[in-house]
Amino acid sequence: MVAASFCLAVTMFAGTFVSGTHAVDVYNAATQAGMGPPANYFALSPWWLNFFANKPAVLFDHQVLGTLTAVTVLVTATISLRGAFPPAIRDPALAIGGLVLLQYVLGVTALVSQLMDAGVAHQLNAVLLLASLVWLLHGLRNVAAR
Amino acid sequence: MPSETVFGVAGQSRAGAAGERNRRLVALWLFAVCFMIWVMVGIGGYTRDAGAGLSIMDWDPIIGTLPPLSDAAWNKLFLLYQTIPQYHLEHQGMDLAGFKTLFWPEYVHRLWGRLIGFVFFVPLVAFTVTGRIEKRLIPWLVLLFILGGLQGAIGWFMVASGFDPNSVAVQPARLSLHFCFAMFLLIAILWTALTVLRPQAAPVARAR
Repeated sequence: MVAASFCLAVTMFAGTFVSGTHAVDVYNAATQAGMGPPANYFALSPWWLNFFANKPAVLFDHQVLGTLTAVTVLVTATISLRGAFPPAIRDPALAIGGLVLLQYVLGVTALVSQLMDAGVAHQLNAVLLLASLVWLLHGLRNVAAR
Repeated sequence: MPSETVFGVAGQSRAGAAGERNRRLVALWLFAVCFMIWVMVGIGGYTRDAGAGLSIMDWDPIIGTLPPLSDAAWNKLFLLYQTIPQYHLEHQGMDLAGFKTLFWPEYVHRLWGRLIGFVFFVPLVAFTVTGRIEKRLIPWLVLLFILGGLQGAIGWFMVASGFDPNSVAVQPARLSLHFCFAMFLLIAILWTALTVLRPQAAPVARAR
């Protein structure tokens, strides 16, 4: 649960730089650029600047973090749905599971299509996912505090 | 599910029916603000993706509420836009109609921000006067209102970075700050709304 929240926060933070640098421009279907680790990951110096300003690296970071987030959120949803919890907890658990899948599809769509509306939809769904996770955490707040 | 009944009773045990109604009203108001923030993210995302964020060169929280109303006002704004690097590097030779397509998203984004402030502030005062909000919650909500205003200032801090020499867009770090601060506000307001709605945590026993 904490892992899922942390992953989502870091992924969304990384996502702001994908938007800010327009890193999706890197994608090229013919050369497969923008998929998988870039060859020149540490092109910029100092090294940490690559996380924020090197477009191929920024895009790759967001993809890896997004995948990690999808896995942790799905595990969280599964655990929450399998426990004997009231609907006040099962509802947001179902929501994060569904929204994270949709989010992954929207992310890939935004990358491959290069459409700005897909990017906006990806961003809006991220906020819904975040809100649902807050909803779930709120429902579990006495469990978490134990 | 048996735990559901326990959940419902726990939420109502202290407050009477009137208190329950007040809490629902306050929560509904805060959820509406959350929804408005969500819409705001959509408008902001569109503005960013359309590269329209630099079309208004000043920040007038009060006077800026009104869009240009005459041809002279439009031309004045357009001439101002022609002084920034983005115009020369990306939109050289753009006409007034083209400028308007950049202006409206940024204008609506700012107007919606003012509207969120309004929808937050007016019920806050009304609910405070009528005693519908718990007293201990008022300073926290006033703080959130001030931080909402700060988000507007951060927005301008971000936009101002787009006017730098050779720049055609805002600095990514400032864009990140503006978005992350919006998420902080959303989480804070949503958590507050949920807590007002369900003051007591559900007595959940983890099943094994």
